[in-house]
Amino acid sequence: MIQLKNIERSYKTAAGQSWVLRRINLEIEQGEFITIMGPSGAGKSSLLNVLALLDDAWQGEYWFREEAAHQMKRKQRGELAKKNIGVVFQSYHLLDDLTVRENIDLPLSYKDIPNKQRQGMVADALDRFQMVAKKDLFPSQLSGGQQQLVGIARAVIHKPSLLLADEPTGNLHSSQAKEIMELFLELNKQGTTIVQVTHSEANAAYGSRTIQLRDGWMVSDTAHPEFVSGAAVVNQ
Amino acid sequence: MTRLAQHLRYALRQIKKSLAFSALVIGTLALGLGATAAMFTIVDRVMLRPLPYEKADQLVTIHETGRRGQLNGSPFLDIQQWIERSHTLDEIAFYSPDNHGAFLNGKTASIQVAAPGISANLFPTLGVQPVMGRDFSTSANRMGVLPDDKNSIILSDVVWRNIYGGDRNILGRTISLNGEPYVVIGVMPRGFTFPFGGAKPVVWRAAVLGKNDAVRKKHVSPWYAAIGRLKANATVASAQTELQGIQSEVAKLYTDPYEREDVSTIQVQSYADSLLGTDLKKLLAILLGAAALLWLIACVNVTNLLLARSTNREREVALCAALGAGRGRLALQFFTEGLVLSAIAAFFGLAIARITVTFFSHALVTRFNIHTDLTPNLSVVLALSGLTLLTAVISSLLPATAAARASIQPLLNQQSSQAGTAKSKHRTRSLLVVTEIALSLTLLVGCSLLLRTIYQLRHVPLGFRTDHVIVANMTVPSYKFTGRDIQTELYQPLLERVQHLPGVKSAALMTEVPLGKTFSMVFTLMPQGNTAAAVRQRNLSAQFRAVTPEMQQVFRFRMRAGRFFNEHDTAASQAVVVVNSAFVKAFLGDDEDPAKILGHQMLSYAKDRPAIVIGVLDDQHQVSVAEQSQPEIEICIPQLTPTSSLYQSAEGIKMDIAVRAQRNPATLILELRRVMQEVSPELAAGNFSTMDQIVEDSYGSQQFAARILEVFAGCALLLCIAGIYGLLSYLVAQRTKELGVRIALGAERKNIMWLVFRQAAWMLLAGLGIGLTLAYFSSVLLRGFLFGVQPQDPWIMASVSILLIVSGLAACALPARRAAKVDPMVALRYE
Repeated sequence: MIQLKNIERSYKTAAGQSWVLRRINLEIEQGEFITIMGPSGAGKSSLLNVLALLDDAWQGEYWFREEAAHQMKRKQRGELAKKNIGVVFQSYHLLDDLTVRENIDLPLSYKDIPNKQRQGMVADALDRFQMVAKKDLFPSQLSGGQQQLVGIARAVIHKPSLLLADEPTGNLHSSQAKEIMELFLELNKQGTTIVQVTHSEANAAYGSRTIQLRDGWMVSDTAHPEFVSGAAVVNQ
Repeated sequence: MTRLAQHLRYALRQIKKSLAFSALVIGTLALGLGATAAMFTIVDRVMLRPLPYEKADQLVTIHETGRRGQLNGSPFLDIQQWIERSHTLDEIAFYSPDNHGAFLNGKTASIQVAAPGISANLFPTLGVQPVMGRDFSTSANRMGVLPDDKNSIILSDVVWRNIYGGDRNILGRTISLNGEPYVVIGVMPRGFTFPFGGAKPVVWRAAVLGKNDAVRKKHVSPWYAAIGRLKANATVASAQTELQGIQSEVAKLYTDPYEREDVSTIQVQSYADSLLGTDLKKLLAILLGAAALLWLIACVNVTNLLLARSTNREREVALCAALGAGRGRLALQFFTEGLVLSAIAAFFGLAIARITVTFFSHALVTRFNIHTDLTPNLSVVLALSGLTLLTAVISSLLPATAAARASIQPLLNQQSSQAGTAKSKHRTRSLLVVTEIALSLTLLVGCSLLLRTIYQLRHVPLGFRTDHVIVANMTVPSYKFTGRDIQTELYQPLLERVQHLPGVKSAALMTEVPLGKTFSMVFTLMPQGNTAAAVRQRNLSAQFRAVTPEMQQVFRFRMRAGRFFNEHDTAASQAVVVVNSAFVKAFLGDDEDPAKILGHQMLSYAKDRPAIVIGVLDDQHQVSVAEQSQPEIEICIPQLTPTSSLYQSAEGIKMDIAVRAQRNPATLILELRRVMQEVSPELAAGNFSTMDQIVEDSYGSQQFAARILEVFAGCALLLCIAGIYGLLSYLVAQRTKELGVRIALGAERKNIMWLVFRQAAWMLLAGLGIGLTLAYFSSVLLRGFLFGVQPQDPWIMASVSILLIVSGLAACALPARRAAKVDPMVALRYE
């Protein structure tokens, strides 16, 4: 589904160039549930941003279902992301001024979908995530777990094939975290490819494959135990 | 005190810390305060100026009125009746207004002065006495002056100091006025003048009553302007009621029924009010209101800016509160900062006011007769100080309240404002911008209506050409030509020399150029009988001008019938006059052929020298551009001789010279002045202007108001754009995270831009809605000043709305672009 070849990302700082991703080569198959782990500053979120096509300033090759995203213009990448990718954030990033229903509807409003169809899709999502009774509430009236549920509903409303989650349970109580992870598993079973970033081993256990990052290098991949990281090569 | 000093120090540090922000606030407030201070300076000089008389509010003018409106003066016998019968007036004095000036003759030069003749009780009525010497001696009837004082004169302080060098031995000295000897008997106090507001220095002659004052007869008995002092318990209204009753009796004393109709009623008016027309007072009030609107817009704008800054300073405020600063102290800090900013702005505002008033000084002289220095004085500075304090209160009220009400803990924990507070501040700021838009629209509509009026006035066909014409107003030193023919000895040589100046195509003399408003003479007919024609002609009141034949070449007007004067019309030829179409209409009736009046005998140049009508001028806007042509009759200057009954009034008081020339006016004026000085030194003091300028000046109130409102409305639009821009920039900055989320969820550049434009559109539409309602009602106030446009003109309302929409959307273009460029990764990192 996705092929990353020699992906690199750096920032210019006063001290020189600071690398956050180094020669990342990664292949993601349809239906996988991947967990990206690593200490703070390892490049997990940066890799997620690259996968989400939110970042533009990386080098390397990014193939999405045989389409060369690295050769696309910004607008084309945006279109590709809009059709295929959903993102769940650690801080939910719900819009305070919009109700639950309006927050869920937001990604649809940026697509050319007739209003009636949109209403139907939002109603389905509310039903599916058991949020019908809360559809007219504002985010500030919900608990953290409920807010993340809305965040997930918003991320999957347009039925993306790839769901990216950046520390989705980072701000939640363990019982709420468990519910969310169960939901991810359910979505994965229904065919959605999921890539999550987490520090939690328990959450990682829901995934089918774990990738470890350190200092921007990919250092291990449970799908490829024989994997030798670029960092190790460089160190040798 | 220490605390206040600390607040001040902190406020100054804040200003220094964010210089650009402070400059923006100071600049905005300086505009509002400057505009208001400028208008207040004008109002102070025009409406609030204290009159240099004792209890000036008790002084009233008294005018007889009747069929032909208000008369400029009354015969002595009528004034005598009023004072004898009135119980509401303590005193009534009178004077013969000297509108045309006189010449105070020195050894080498003559100086133009005003020299009204006054009754003996005028100065006591005004509550003023000479500081040196004595007043005129009172005759038995307490108003007249004893004949002994016929050649006595009292000097104003200005004349005494500037012309006679403050000579302490001036009393008893003989001076020459218009060639006649007068003995100085007194000097008035410094600052005193009467009549009030004249440009020329004043000397006072005695109004010694003569035998003509013993009759009531038009063109025979001298007419005087009357001024009275109300008794302590009387009011203008009670005096009006009483004098109206008296006047009914006085009118019966007129034997001529037509003259009786002209004096049937009376008008008593406060002297201060009489110095300024109702229209001008209304206009000044409107303009002061407009300045106040601009000031309010500036305050609203600054409130918005300070609110934005207070949001950025929430953590600082929370920290102060956590360290023990009370709510009152926090609010006081914000108020001190507002006060310091307002005070600095007031300083610049004063400079703006000075520049603005200087910029409009020409209009102030022509429109309001203000000849004094226009530097903002103590009362303006005091008013400005009060306004500055109010500005500080208004602009810092909301930020101070917000700071005082802020909860400490969430701000310290989250390092940003709470959602609810931010939302309420955002709503407040939006409402402020909506208010700004509404107020700006009101000002813009007013300005546009007046600009449209000026446009309409400029496109009125005047009936004569104004280009390349230079005009000089002259006060004629006729005393020098006593016993001689002024026509042959002054006017002819002057005209010949001017006509021979390089570049001069033609030059003409006339008592007053069209639209000149310098020397108006009125001609009335007195036909006998009660036929329809006789009644119509008795009501005819025509402009009267004495002109030379060259006038047609200078102004290039057209004739409807007959011919204009030419070189064959001399003192020896048949006396002739020319009238205009409006005169023919009034004289013959509406449907008559203008040519029918040709050959008609109209007036007499002298006894046994009747004049006939030889031509009919096409109508011209000779009195006012906004008014239809008035009936006019013109006589030919070369036909006047010293024996003519019209000689003194037509040739001996005022004369304009109009010159058509293909030359730079500045250099020609220098040469004209030189020629005039050589012909007679007194003529060099004349005023010079171009005919185009005279036409511009004739627009008067509208022109003045339009120019002031242009400046105010321009500033308002600028502040409005700045307000919209400032708010949207702030919102974009505040909503960076939200915009990042939207982009991450698939929003495109156009979606984000639309979001910002939609915000602006909402504010614009709300502002336009309120503004149009305000403008709809407030523009009615301008009705009396409009020409060719209705107060609620839909095109103007629509154009101004479009201008504001376009400006508003342009103002949000930059914030919208900035919003569309938000990097979602950076935005989301805010978490």
